[in-house]
Amino acid sequence: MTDYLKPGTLIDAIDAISKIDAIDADETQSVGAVTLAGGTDLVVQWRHKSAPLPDLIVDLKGIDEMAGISVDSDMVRIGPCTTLAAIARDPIVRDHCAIFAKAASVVACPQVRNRATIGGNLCNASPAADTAVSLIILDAELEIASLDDAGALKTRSVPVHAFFTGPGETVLRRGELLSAIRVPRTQGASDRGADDQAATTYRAFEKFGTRPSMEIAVVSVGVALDLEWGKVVRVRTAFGSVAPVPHRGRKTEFCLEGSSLDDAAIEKACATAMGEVSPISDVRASADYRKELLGILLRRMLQNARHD
Amino acid sequence: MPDTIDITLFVNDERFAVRVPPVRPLAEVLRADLGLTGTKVGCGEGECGACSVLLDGKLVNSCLVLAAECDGAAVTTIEGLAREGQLHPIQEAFVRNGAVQCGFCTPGMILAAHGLLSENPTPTEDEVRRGLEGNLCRCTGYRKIVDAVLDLAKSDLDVKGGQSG
Repeated sequence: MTDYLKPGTLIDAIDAISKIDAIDADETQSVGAVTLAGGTDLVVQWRHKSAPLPDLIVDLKGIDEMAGISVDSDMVRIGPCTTLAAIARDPIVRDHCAIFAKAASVVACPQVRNRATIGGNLCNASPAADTAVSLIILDAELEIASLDDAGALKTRSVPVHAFFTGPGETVLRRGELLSAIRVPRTQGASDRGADDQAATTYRAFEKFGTRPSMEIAVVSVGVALDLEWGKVVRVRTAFGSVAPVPHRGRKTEFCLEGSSLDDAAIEKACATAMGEVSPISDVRASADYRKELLGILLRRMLQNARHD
Repeated sequence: MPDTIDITLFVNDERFAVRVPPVRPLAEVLRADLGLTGTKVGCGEGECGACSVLLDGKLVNSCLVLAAECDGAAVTTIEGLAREGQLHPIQEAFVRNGAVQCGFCTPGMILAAHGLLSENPTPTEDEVRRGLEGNLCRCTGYRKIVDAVLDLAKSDLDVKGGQSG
């Protein structure tokens, strides 16, 4: 039988999942505790019985520090229970990490975005997660909380690109909870000084689906470029739905570093991107189609970056 | 461990105390326990929007929300929009524009329009289509539904009309 708990603090939440996990070790049939955020994936999985009902549902939405958005001198901090709708319209996010707001705004539909959370979207670990692609190119970090032997809160941090280990799988260990998403503030022109005319930045996220709404990405691409005097001085690329996890395109980045985004560099980068991913064929698209699309989207984005 | 939990819901400004299993969706509680069958269940997995309600003023799919999560929350269903025999302006606009075919998607469409117009009272056609993107009409009568919402956007009415949500 399933029980439901809505703890008011992070410590109580971790305590609840840890205790049940301990019981779980003796009862091989037991599913233990499952954390619930927006529920837009989990409730469907329970309905389809593709995920077994747990002994305990730990609803994280009663914990104040788990929701909300704040900013300090370096980072925008987002609580994992913040909804995608709240992220998409938040002035801080739109100002400092606009493509993250854009990625959140293209997930599913208003009903789902009003419920689905950023923490849930990340911990669900879909290879197609729109938000993950945008967070990877923004160098976002995830703060993971657990309890030490004395029962006090401790945290560790992992970069978003290293959080995913496979479809539906992450580096989260038993007794650990995602407790914050931290995104470096985009250094805008005003931060750099008006005299630095030679430096430009480009941040973009594109999602391709066969319809504009309620679509899981066939391919998604994120590109972040910093240019000085037309040369790439810093680059991040990330690709969704073309690998077992949201994929950081390190080889593609290596191709682009130091280049002037001339046609030859762009073609080489696109060929490299298509070579470093490993898409599958499924009901939404074939592997070949996904690779082709990735090359096309990336080429368009890099050409846009050159013209900006 | 308890088989059920006791929760309080404020549905259409009326207080209900209900005892629910922890994994019972809000949609089922509304329909089966409270008899509010205006909320429809189409797909039951958040694809069709027929079960749309306002939860503390926010548009959600009630099939994807557990009733247990809603303890103390305010829920507005289609039954809560008309007041004293007078249809809500959104309902009137749907009637005026013939935006109803079989009617199964209509409650969800009207709640979705409500959710959209309370955040953006003057949407463009594109914004209306985006606002209704989570609601499917199997009769495919989208044109008149979009017209009905645009009609309201032009009419400058306060669609919230003092309703909960």
